[in-house]
Amino acid sequence: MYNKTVLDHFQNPRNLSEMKNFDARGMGASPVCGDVMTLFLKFDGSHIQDATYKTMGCGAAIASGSVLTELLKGKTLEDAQKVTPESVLDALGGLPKIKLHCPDLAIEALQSALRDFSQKHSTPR
Amino acid sequence: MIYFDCNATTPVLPEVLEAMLPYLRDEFGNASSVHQLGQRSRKAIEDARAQVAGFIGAEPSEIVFTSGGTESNNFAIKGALAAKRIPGKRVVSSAIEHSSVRDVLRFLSDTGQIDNVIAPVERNGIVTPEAFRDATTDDTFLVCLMSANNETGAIQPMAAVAESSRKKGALVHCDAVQSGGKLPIDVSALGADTLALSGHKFGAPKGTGVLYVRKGTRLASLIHGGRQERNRRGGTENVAGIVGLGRAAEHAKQALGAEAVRIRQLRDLLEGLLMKQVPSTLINGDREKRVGNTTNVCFEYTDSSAMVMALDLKGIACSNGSACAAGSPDASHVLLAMGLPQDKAHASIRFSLGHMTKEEDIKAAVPLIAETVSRLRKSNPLWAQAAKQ
Repeated sequence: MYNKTVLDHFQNPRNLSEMKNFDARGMGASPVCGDVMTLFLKFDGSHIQDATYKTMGCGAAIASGSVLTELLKGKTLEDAQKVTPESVLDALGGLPKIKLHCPDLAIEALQSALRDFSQKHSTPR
Repeated sequence: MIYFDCNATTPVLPEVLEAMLPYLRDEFGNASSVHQLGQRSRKAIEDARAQVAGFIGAEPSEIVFTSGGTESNNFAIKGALAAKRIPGKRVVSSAIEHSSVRDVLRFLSDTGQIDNVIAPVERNGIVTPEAFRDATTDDTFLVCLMSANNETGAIQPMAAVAESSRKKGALVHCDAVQSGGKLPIDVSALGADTLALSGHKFGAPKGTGVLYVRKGTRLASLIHGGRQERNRRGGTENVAGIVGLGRAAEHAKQALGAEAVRIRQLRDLLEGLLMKQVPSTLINGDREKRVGNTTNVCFEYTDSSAMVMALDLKGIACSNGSACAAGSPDASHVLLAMGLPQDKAHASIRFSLGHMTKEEDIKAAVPLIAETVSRLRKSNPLWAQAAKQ
């Protein structure tokens, strides 16, 4: 049902932890299955220095969060905004049809985190 | 592999396979043929019919062989509809029926052929005879109830429901697929007019099933095309499968004694160890009135599909919900009907034991399950919050 990449990210999820000194935090919730994901971002100037996540979700959700955090590290805010559910799906090498909504959950958490970051930094310093 | 998914299917018993092999080799005759080869197949089928009849307290003439539980349920429902004499088109069923009953009723309802009234289930996973009695009117031509639920194992008050339904003139269909080989089945005591069994749930191969049809019951055929099965089901008989089913029924009848007690004790051991070693664990459904091999466990703050996948990778086969509904992101309709909230329903998995289960399996599985629950909870943002409170 799942390919080797997905199974690896499910069994050994990367960056699966809560971040203490995050610069931005975002939440996603899937209307399809009720899964939730929290994403934490740490910025170093204009670049994402670190990304971690936690999820209450199925194997595909765990794997989606794992590859997303890997994709985000080192990206600028602008590049992070260009990450889509398809980017996550590609990085996973595909998912079963019924799990195609899982990357959406990860991207919802990302967009929420990026909004959080923009709000915090929109006021003139 | 540790196999805890016997409600999904069971392996073919060695003695069943042995009994079947001749009919897959030299004894290939068509049971409708006049020659000796054909007549030996006929005899094999009739011997199996007697074995199955003996298994459920029926007359051999009341046994119709089918391709499985799903066909039997379709047959009973659509056959009752096509043969009914009253204009009323109400069918009463429970909220926890298997998809092979639910989806048939939904189809007939969506196409305007029946009015389906669904009786609720209590928190313990059991319907009340009163709910059925209240829903059953003079317009009701059929009442459907499973004898035991596939997900929780909860045993339903079949005899009481059958009695009150028959008084109102309705036919009574019992989906006994999850009772076969787990509980003694006596069609007279249950009071059903039709009763479905599936062979692969008790050691016969897939593709074998039974519909018991009480003598005198008006039931139209589902499959037309030949005079087989007393004109009730056309098609050349699956001789080897039927022989296997007969042998499995014989075995199941014997295994209902000490073997059933052994399996129940192992199930109780599994539940006891899980409750002791895994915090925030709940058992769904009635602890007493249920089949002895099944437990439906809620590991709060886990996701059942992630659990099933992680346990599979550790060599334990179990399931969330029914195998027939697997792959759906929806929580179990059975658990939701019992009033479980979405999050608890999504966190529940089923372990169903069987003849191959040994005490070592339980002892080996529990730490692996505990470890998996703990790992999944660590990744859950809600668990950290819950643990703080």
